[in-house]
Amino acid sequence: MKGLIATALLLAGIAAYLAVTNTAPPNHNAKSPPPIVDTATLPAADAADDGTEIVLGLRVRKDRNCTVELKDYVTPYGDMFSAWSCTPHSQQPPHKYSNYDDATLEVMAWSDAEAASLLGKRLIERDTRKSYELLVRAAALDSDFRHLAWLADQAYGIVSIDGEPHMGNLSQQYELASVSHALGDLSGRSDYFRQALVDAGADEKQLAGLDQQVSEVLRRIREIQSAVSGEVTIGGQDNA
Amino acid sequence: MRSFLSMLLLILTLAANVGLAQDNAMTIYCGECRHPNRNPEDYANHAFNQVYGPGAWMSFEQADDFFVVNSKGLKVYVDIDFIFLGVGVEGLRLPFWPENMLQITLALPNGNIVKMVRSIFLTPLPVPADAYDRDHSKWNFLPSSNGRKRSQDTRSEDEGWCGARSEKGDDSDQLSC
Repeated sequence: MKGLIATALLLAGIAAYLAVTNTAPPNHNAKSPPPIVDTATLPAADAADDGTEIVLGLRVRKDRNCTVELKDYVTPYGDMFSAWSCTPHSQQPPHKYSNYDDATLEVMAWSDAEAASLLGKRLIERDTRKSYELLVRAAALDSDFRHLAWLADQAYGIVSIDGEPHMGNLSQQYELASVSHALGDLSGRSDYFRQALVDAGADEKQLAGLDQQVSEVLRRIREIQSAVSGEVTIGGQDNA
Repeated sequence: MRSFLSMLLLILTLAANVGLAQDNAMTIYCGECRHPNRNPEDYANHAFNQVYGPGAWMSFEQADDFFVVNSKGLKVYVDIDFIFLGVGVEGLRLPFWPENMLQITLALPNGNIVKMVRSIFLTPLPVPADAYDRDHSKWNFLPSSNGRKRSQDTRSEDEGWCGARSEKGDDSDQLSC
């Protein structure tokens, strides 16, 4: 009986080992690089109803606009590794204002939402406050909350590090999501971030302070809309 | 004795499954991604672009978890999850409604686990994403895996995924595992 158990245990161990080692991890020391195959020339090995197909062993989207490849790369230190990529068939056209300098865009930003948005995105690296103002202005001019969502993602996207909530970023996310809600975002992101703040230990006083800031941003948006077009598209009451 | 053996067999099976899942995670290449310890947002944006936007090609099944590797061979483990609005009942919160947001969890080479959010209707996202370069101080509080404070100018964080130091010196980003 003991021998039988020992044999079963041994077989289970061997099966477990083989299950792990027989899969194909990225080959960091490949001697012969795998062929680079243009997936456009290959028939789909399998078609599924969910809009995907299997290409080179991977289940990928059918509607992709790129070529799936498994390539070998060499680091500056001579190490080789393999990785997947999807090379676009065509490049995205540049923004129509991409050749304009910052000064020109700043002048245009008074009444042009696209100019304000582009300059705001450009400046997010150099001048966050200015970038914030420009993206709020863009949102005010065309009532598109996605300018604010972009700002939230790129400037305040980190919400926790090693499980510890990033209160500053959560606060900014809540502020921008609340303004977005007033501009028509129905996703309920502001509720999510408010709950995240509560879970992270924010008290009523802190939340009230953030709601005050939201009201201030909404007031500025109304001022911009009133000054540029004379028409205020968000309600007179703060929706925060 | 019998329960001990059953437990051992169960652990072996689970360990095999965990190892299998990790090994099945694909690795995708990001030539523009900078050092992952200093610029994790590059990896979040690149990962996001593979799933949403004009350059999307990965199925949601593939996008659940995978690795992103840069030109220097530095790898970041990426886990993408949908964020749902929760309905709370007596402290228990159940997922109820999608929030149009993704939570992207990154396991960095220095051991930090960073969680980011991205709105699903905004694509493509910039890579490299320079948003955080303007204020390096916000990264300095991140402890490295050995407990030292991180600094923008030191290269001590150039450790590979395995946490091993390259034999080519501290200025190397090379993986030594």
